[in-house]
Formats: sequence, C-alpha cells, structure tokens
Amino acid sequence: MMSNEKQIVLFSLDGVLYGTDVHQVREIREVQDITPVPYAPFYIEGVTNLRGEVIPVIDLRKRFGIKEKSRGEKSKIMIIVQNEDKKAVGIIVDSVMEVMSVSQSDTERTPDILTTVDSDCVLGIAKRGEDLIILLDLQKVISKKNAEATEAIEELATSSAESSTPETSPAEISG
Amino acid sequence: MSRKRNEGEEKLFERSKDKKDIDYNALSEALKRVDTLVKLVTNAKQSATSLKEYTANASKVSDQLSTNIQQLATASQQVSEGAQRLSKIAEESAKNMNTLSTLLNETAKASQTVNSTTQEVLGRANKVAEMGSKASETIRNIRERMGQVLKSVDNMISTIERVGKLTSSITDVASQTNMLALNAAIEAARVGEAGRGFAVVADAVKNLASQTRETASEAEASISDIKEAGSSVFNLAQQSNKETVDGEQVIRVALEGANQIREAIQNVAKIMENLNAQVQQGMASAKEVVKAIDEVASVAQESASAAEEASAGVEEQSAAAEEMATISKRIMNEAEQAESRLIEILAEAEKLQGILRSLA
Repeated sequence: MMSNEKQIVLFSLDGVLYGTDVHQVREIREVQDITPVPYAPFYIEGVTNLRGEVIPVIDLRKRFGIKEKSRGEKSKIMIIVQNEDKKAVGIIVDSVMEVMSVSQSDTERTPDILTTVDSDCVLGIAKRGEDLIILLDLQKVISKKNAEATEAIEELATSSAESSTPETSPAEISG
Repeated sequence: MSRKRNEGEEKLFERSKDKKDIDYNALSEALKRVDTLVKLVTNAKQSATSLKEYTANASKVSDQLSTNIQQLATASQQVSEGAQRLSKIAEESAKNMNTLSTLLNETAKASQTVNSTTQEVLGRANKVAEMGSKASETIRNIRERMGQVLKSVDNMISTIERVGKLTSSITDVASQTNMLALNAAIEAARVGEAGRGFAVVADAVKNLASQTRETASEAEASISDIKEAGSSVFNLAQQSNKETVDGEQVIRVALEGANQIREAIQNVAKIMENLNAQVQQGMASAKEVVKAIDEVASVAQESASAAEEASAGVEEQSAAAEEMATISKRIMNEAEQAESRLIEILAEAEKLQGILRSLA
C-alpha cells in the first residue's frame, strides 16, 4: 500500500459523508434484531447476536447528537468495528457506499473544526470532487470521552458468555 | 041627383040600367060558385099556413145544418193544421236524426282512426318490448363478460403481486450481494496489495448488484404502476358491472312499462271496438228512426191533405146548406105572403058570399 494512499470505507449519516480507515472495519452487516438493554446509555441501541457473538450496538446518529430518524428507511446498515480491546461493536449508520482510496494530498487536517463529534475523533476532511468526506476514527468515537458509555459497553461485552475477559480496565481505555 | 056623375059612376049606372032585371037563377048559381070559392080559398089558406110552418122548420133545420157544417169545417181545419204541424215536427226530427246520423258517422270514423292509431301504438309498444328484451339480453351478456373481465383482472393483479414479491426478493438478493461485495472489498483492502485483483472483482460484483437493484427497483415501479392500473381496471370493471346491473333494472322497468302500455292500449282497442259496435247499432237505430219519422211525415202529409180536402168538401156543403137555408127562408116568406093574400081573398070572398045571400 502506498503511504500517501489510504483505503477508507465510505458511509453516510444524515446526508453527510463519512470515511473510516478500512482497517478499523471488520465487516458490514444489515441491522438485525436488537435487544434493548436496561440502564444503557441513550445512544446504545442494545445488543445483537452476531453469529453467536453478542455485541453492543451504538446508534451513531444518537451518538453524534443528530435528531433521531425512524430506522427502517435507510439506516439498516451496521458497521462492525473492533474497539481497542479487539471486541466487536456494531455502529448503525444510514448507508455504506463503498471502499475507496483517498490520497494524502486530498486530505486536510482541520483540528480547529467544531463538529458534533469531538475533534480528536475527526482525522481530517477528504475531498472527492465537490463532496467532502469527514474522516473519522471510529475506535475513538466508540471508546473515548463518554466513560459511562464505555463502561456500559465493557459491561455488556464482559457479561456475554462468548466474550473473553477484558484485558484492560476502563481507566486504561480512557487514558 | 044634382051632382054631376063622374065617368066611372056613369059607366056603373049605365050598366045597372042595362041589367035591371035580376036573373035569380044566375044569382044562385053565382052564390054556389062563391061558396065553392070560399071553400077552396079556405083550403088554400090552410095549405099556405101549413107550407109556412113547414118552410119555417126547414129553415131552422138548414140553419142547424149550416152551423154543424161550420163546426165540421173548423174541426177539419184544425186537423189539417195539426197534421201540418206534425209534418213540420217530423221534418225537424228527420233533420235532427240526420245530424245525429252524421255525428254517429263521424264518431265511427274517429273511432276507426283511434283504432288504427292504437294499432300503431300497439305495434310500437311491441317493438319497444322486443328491443327492451334484446337490450336486456345484451346487457346480460355484457355482465357475463364483465364478470370474466373481473376474474381475469383479479388473476392479473395476483400474478403481478407475485411478480412484485419476486422483484422484492431480487432486490433483497441484490442488496445482500452488494453487502457481500462491500465486505469482500474491505477484506481485499485490508490484505493490501495482494488483494488488489480481488478488490476489482468485488467492485465488479458490487456494480452488478447495484445494477440489479436499480433494474429491480425499476421493475418494481413498473409493477406498481401495472398494479395500480389493474386496480383501477378492476374498479372500473366492477363499476361497469354494477352499472350493467342498474341498466338491467332500468330496462326491466322500461319493459314492464311497455307491457303495461301494451295492456292499456289493448284495453283501449277493446273499448273502441265496443264503442264502434254501439255506434253501428246507433246508426242502424237512427236509420230506423228516420224511416219511422219519414212514415209519420208522409202520413201526416196525407192526413193534412185529406183534412184539407175534407175541409173543401165541407165548405161546399156549407155553401149548399146556406143556399138551402136562404131558399127555404124565401119559400117561407112566399108562403107567408100567400097566406096573408089568401086571408084577404077569403075575406073578400066571404063578403061577396054575404052579399049574394042577401040578394038571394
């Protein structure tokens, strides 16, 4: 792989294009039955059974503080990513378009941009013709900042029979 | 005798001188004769009296006769007038009867016209009934066909629904293929340079999947259009079906109406026939009445002329009777005069008789 080329998975949410490093994505799935979990953070949809593995599912829309849209329209797609503990987490987005490569020259770092997402989750802005693609670090999106959320994710992950014992503590993750 | 005798006295004197000598024989003879004369005159007087009386009676009778004849004349006059009046009345009646006959004739003609009109109307009503039943049959056929159309359209719609399900499953498969291609592309990207070829294949698969999805969604749109069209065809067919039912009902009502008209017209025709028969009878009766009136008129005429003739005869008789009365009156007068003269003569004769007796 060329150093100035980066493979990203292009997806959309509320009409905005996002890109995430292909290495952060394990697979793309359709949203399947989700079991709600009591006392979970508001952006946690619940848990779902992915081939015998129980994984938490996050609604990225809620996580980004975007006005909720009834699912079933387009947000049937779930990006399975691995958190820092190599545990699978489902992220619901509106749609996943393709795998594409972006060159470094087309990417701008814009650390001062204020978005609904914390800026350290945003790696930069890529241009593709007229369109702009927000490059996200999905691992940071799901693991950083909201300790409560992370805790809940951890708990959900550890309570699963299939899941392995956590190697790191929440404190370590946030650090 | 100092006075000079006049000529007549002189003559009488001379005569008496000549017949100085009285012949007694002759005298008695004269007396006898005077007696006979008196007797004769008396008889004559009696006869004249009788005649006078008779003629008086005759005059009375002839007067009576005249009066009676006058009355008879008046009566026959009245008869004549009555007969004439009767004749006039008969004539007027005949005129009236003629008018009545004309009216009856006109009625008969009118009833014939009505009859032909009713026949025409009856024919038309029959035609309406025929056409109505044809229309009814046609509508039944249409309804049957509409039922078939409904069934076909229903089948078509369910077929289209099945096709729709197929396309939705195609869409499903396409989106799953798309997903697979995405995942394949991710895998290939993660492998790096080694996965390049695989990435190309994955991309091609993804393109195919998206084409398939597009085609399927186009098909879906077409199918939904077809379904909509089919639904509206179905609705239209159903509506038409309902309308044909309504139409059938309307035609049935119309047919009933036509039948009622036909019955009514048949009744009218019957009544007209009856009326016609009555008019014919009336005409026959009127003819008889006219004949009778004619007879009455001719009889009246005859009686009038007879009465006139009678009247004329009576007038003649009346004139005769009057003449007779006049004559009998004249006779009576003559008889009266004769009687009075005879009375005078008798008196003279009796005087003469007395003189002669004294002489004898």
